[in-house]
Amino acid sequence: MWKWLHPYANPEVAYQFTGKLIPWFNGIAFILLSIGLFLGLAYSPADYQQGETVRIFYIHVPAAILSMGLYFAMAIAGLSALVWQLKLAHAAIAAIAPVGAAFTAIALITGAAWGKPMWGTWWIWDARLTSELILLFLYFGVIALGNAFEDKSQGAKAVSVLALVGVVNLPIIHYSVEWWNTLHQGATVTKFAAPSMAMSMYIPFVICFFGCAFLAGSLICKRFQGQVLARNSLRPWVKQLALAEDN
Amino acid sequence: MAFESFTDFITMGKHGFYIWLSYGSALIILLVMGFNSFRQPKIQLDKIRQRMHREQQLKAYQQKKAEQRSQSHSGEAV
Repeated sequence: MWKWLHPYANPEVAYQFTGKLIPWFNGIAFILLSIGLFLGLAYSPADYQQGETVRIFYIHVPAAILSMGLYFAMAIAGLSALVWQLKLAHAAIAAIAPVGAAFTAIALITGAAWGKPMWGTWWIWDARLTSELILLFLYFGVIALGNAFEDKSQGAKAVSVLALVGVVNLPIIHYSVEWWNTLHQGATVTKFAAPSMAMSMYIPFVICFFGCAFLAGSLICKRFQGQVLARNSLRPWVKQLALAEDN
Repeated sequence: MAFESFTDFITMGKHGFYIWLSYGSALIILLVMGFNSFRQPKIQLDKIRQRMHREQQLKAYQQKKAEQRSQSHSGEAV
């Protein structure tokens, strides 16, 4: 496996590989989101307690799961950056952080818009909401720290450590609904058991989730390409690309 | 279909505002993010090209300076 993976540590190969992935990711994301949002918004039934507001579920939960999943992915990149000194892992951290922050913001905003009609308030300093807000600030911290260094390789170590330390927040977010009394409901789909919801709602959710995941993948690949270029700006292949673009 | 008419779909049983607010804000965030992400490689390549251009200009300027200096020196000598 190492032999197979090894060429991908070459920035040029990684740049071209991600370039090939992007159109596929875009296509799959478009198809899945079209189907998923149609099913979720128009086809799936209303909830017997929450009425139509349950439709926020199909964007809120995928965004929330991705906000945590992407942070975990970023932390793995941070670990491999620290342990194996992989330069591409630094590029991956810088690529994932803004996309993760976007999904965290979506989870928070859609959550607020769901909280107002159901709980009677946009925001409350509740364990789940507060820990998710901290996740957003962790993303901002990683982005800001990465941008604080003119020489990217200098800040890379600090960024990796911050990404790795922030992982402690993930179990806090996940278990916050069990550890503390919160307004937020318990886990519905992210648990090691059958999801506690009807199939007519579960299927649109799964489709929306994978649609969002492929969309995130495509955005991350594009940002990764930008980061690889910025970090290899003295390489001949990058200079060639820069000159080829000039017309 | 969960709705009888298009108006039902928009109003969503009194909660239309909150539902469309969530989907609208998510759409705006993703559009901004997508636009920004897809420009990243081009932004970086533009920066690199600008830097290469600056370096070239600097080199040309230094060469010209060096030539002028050597010319004026030879002029003094004569």
